Amino acid sequence: MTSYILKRLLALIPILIFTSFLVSTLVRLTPGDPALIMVGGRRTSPEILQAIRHQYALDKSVLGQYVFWVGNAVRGNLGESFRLKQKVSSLIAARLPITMQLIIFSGVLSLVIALPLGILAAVYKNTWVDYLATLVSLLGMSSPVYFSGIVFILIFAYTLDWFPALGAGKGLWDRLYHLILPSSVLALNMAALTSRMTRSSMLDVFGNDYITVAKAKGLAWRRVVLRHAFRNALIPVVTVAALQLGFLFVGSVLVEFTFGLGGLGSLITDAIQNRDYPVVQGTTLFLVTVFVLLNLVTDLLYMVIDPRIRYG
Amino acid sequence: MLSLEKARASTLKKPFWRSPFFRNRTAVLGSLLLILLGFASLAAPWVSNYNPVKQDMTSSLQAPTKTHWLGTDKQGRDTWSRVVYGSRPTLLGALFVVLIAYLIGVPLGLMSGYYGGRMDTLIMRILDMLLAFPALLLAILIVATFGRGLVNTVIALGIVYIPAITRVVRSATLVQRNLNYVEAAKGSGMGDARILFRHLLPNVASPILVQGSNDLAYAILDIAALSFLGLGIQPPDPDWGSMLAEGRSFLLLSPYVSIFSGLAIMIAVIAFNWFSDGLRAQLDPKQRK
Repeated sequence: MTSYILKRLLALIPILIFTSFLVSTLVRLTPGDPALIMVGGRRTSPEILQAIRHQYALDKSVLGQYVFWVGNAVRGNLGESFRLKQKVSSLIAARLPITMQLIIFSGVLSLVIALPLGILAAVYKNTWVDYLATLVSLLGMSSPVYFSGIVFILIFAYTLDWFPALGAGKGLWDRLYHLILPSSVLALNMAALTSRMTRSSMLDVFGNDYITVAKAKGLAWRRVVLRHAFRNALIPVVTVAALQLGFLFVGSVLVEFTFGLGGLGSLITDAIQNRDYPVVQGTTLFLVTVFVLLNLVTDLLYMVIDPRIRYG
Repeated sequence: MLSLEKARASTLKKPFWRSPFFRNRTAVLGSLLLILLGFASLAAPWVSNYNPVKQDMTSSLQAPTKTHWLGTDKQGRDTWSRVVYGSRPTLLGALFVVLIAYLIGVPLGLMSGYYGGRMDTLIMRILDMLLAFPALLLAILIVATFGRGLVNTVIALGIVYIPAITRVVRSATLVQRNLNYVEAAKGSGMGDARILFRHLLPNVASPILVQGSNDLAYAILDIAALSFLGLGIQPPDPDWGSMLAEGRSFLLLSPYVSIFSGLAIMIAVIAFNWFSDGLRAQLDPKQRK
């Protein structure tokens, strides 16, 4: 298992090289002179611009700039924002909590919605419970998060006045309170697929002999469903839930935009608008790294759920 | 003898309305919705009753009325006309996203599955790296680099959609390549290109069609998402994503622009999903019962 983890961590290196090269090349191709953006329209001279370009290695070739940037990045220095004059690493550190809280909250919430919904839909197949679950997942799947977000704001913030429409709040409880609407939007969207998967996976397992045996020896139905069937139905569910992680990252960008949350997503969208190269590069690379690491963690989770799975 | 042939013919060729696709109610409903959507966007000048970009400050932010069926926006533009015209860039864009992705992804998947070995490793490794990116994030980066607008959005999403279809075609090709007909084609001295595109391609067409109709739904969602972020179609041209974003600025005064453009996205996505499910039931022998 240790060697498997090591192998997977080594495989990370080419991915990160490719990612960083792609991102930095893309970012340099963007039209617009960052030196001009840095002086911000103030009166300037060619000499000053030249000095700025030199300081940020903007006068080097694309490859030279890439080497300069990577050299700093491996030392944990992701550069400095052109516009905000702050270290990219500290910008990320400042914005990370909101995005992480949003992602974790939505992820947990989506499982809390999807698993019971999927199990109930399987147990009460072709009854109103099943149809209700189908309707919920149809709505969740077809309504984009930026639309559900607006509908939720209209209903729960403007009309019922239960939750705040915008902003992230201060302090733990206020933050959670502000995150309820955005997280529900993301969670519903993900729960759509996960609940469908739980339902069909449970139905597959119900067809097995050991379920009949468990029933025949008089075990309580609740115990059969939760202990015997659910655990065995979990692998495909975990696969789908893991695939959804990628969606969570992208969805969080859209949801942060919709609800005016100042997380990593809005850091990226703002930086793109302002051609703030180092911020775009640093934040994207950070997100991709976290994304790849999370994929590794879910692979390891399979082993915990199903001890039969062993990786060489 | 004759009756036997008849019986065989009847099992092989059911009338089309008894096929799995047409027995699936949602698939039929989805197809009808798609026909309606296609008609509305083709016949937009006749279906709509106002010029979608013409401003009329005297009728700003109206609720739905007899003259403005879905109300108006801040500049007094008719929401129904804008939703109808807005279907054009969204639907056409989605079509081109899938077209670009499949023109590249399908040949890559065929080659990867057919040749195997180094070719397979090379193609799949490169695509796996693309997969390491959260998809829409990569699209956002590409559009931000090469400039906003529908064309760049469609190209960016086209690139992002390549890995998925390549994987689908590759795994279907892996099953087919060891079958006798491929061996026979090789044995008769046929060139690789001909085997790949004349013989293998028709046999992996089913998963491509199913995945394609499904990808269209996702492409609509992603095009609208990029427009919502302000990267896709630029004002004043109407499009569902940017209308949704515009409506946000006067949501409290008049939520109709956001609501109706969002509903339009939902209906299109549901229609493609239902159509795709029906197609899968029709084409995937595993699903037949």
